Amino acid sequence: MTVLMLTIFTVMVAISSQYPAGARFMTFVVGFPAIALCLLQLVLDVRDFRHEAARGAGGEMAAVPADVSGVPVDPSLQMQMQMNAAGLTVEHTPEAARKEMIVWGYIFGLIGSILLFGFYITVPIFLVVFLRFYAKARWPMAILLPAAVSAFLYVMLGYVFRMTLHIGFVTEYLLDRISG
Amino acid sequence: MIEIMFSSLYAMLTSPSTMGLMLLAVFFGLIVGVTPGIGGRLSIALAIPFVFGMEMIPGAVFLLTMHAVNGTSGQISSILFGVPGDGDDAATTIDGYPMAKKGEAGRALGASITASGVGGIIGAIVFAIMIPVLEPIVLSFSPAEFFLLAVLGITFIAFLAGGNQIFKGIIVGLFGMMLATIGTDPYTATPRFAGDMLFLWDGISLVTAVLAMFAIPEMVALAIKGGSISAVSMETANFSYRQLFQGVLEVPRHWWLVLRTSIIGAIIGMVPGLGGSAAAWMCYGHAVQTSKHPERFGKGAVEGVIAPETASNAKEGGSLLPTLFFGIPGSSGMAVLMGAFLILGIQPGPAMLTTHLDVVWTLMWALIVGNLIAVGFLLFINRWVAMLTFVNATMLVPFILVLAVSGAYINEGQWQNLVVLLVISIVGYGLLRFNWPRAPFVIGLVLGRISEESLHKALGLWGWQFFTRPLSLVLIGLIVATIAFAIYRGRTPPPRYAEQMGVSS
Repeated sequence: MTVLMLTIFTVMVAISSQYPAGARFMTFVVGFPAIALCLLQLVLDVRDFRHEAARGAGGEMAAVPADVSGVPVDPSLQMQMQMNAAGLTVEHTPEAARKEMIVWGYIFGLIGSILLFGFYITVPIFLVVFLRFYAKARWPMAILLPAAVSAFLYVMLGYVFRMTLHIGFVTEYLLDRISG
Repeated sequence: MIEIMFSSLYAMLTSPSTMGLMLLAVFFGLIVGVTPGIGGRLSIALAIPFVFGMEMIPGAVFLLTMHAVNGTSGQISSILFGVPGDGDDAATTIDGYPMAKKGEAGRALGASITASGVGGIIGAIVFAIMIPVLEPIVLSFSPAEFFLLAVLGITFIAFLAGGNQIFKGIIVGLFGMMLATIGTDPYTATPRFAGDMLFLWDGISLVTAVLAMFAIPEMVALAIKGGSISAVSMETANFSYRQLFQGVLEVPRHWWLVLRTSIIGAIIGMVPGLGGSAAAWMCYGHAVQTSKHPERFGKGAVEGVIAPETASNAKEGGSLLPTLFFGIPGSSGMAVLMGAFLILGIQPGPAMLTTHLDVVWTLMWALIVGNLIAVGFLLFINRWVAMLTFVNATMLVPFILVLAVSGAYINEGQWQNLVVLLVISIVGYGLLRFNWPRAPFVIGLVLGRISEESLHKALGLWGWQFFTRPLSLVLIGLIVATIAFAIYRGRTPPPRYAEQMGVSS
């Protein structure tokens, strides 16, 4: 992540160096300290990596709330509180990596399909496919829920908020061809 | 000031649209608070596209109310199932869950819901009292200080990430500031990083960036993690309304504790960098230390439920002060809320006291009225709201993804924003995956443009000497002290949890 950040800042600073002095001022004010911090973070990452390697696999568990102000905490709660303190994190396991790829596949598919075929076609299909094949919902649930939610979404956006959703490049092309 | 204060209340109560939006916000806020995987921060991010284009006051009331009542329902799963919804609720679990196991779930819920509402109201009152006190300080700030305040805001939010993450947090904040430079430069009209892409000439859409940084990565993580919040039965949720009412009466019975912990919570909320759960933990510790029978705590003492709940909701009023007047949000939720306020045209700073005082007072009233409605609602429907904790989180993911993608599109009606959403989501997920803080990004992005303008103005007025102005020196001192303390904290071994949370034994 540090390398990615360093690359982003370096590229942006390099690009902005071609701008007039007034335009590049802020990018330099932000970019140079950011590059310096990225380099510092990189050093810290390498140091931490070496420490981890020296300590061996397993590492050290985070502090578990054994007591609060002298009050003993139920052991069954300690793990939950520890997980809670850690927030929504992703495990670094092969199973998690596989699921990660699948979920990102769905997201790329959703956005790509919206761009090509529009919201009206993509959203119901995406919801049905995700619910049935990823969330393992039963067919009735996987069809009825998306139908209800899609209808609600279109009524809310189209009639209440008077918003027009993207209809998709392919759909637009086909509609143009049909209408002559 | 008094006249504006009460006219704001009158205007709010007599506006059917504002009150209707507030009711909707209470409803959604309570539901979101108890639904697995959707925190207050994410709910604000998802709501932003729908308030975009609304008038300033109704939009702000909607978002603030939703944010404020979020924590009120979060405690339900803490008490009934021993599963805290977020950091604020963890302290409530210590005594709330043992109460439920003893068959006193109704009493615990009645006490915690009422305490939470009362805490929110007292927090709003503390906010109101502090406005005249802070007025001269806020008005003494010049453009020079606003640039440094932006840097201080990023530093404080980075500090919240804990451990030795301060540099990561600042880097992420600077990344937000760097993205804020995309678009036409206000001084030379050069299109920075935009080239021929006209949709970028106005800058990156804030709505898209916030959704990309929070909604998509969190949904990916939730889809991988899956499951529901509770795997235990609803048996503990069987209680009578009589028991619930007994719990409600515990709050006036412990009025002195409620008052103390509310004030402590509000004051903690005013200090950016202490974090949301610090208020709850400190007040839990305070309740233990001041009790005549500390041995009852951890075994189902009702004071152990009341103290953290009042504090965690009272801090919302307190944390509005630095957010509205200095542009320094006290928590990551407030950071997203501040971004939403900016979209509505509410710019933090002295203007809040000079031209938008009516907005300030309306927000204070929204906290009070919103909490009252939330308590009334929740006391009656908490048993049904608790059912939401059994929802399989994976089932929610596709709907929230669709909501996020729709939100990114509808705020500007440009398909290119979907591509921007995808690109920033990948970076956002990378940050989540490798445990980098994401909240500083929002601060950097929302304050980027303001700080650029402030920096240019300050340099025009004082040259580089603006760094030596007394207030600038104070702010620089605070930035350095925060970083130094974060480094010191990162180097010392982790203490016991209670001490980490600021609770001294």
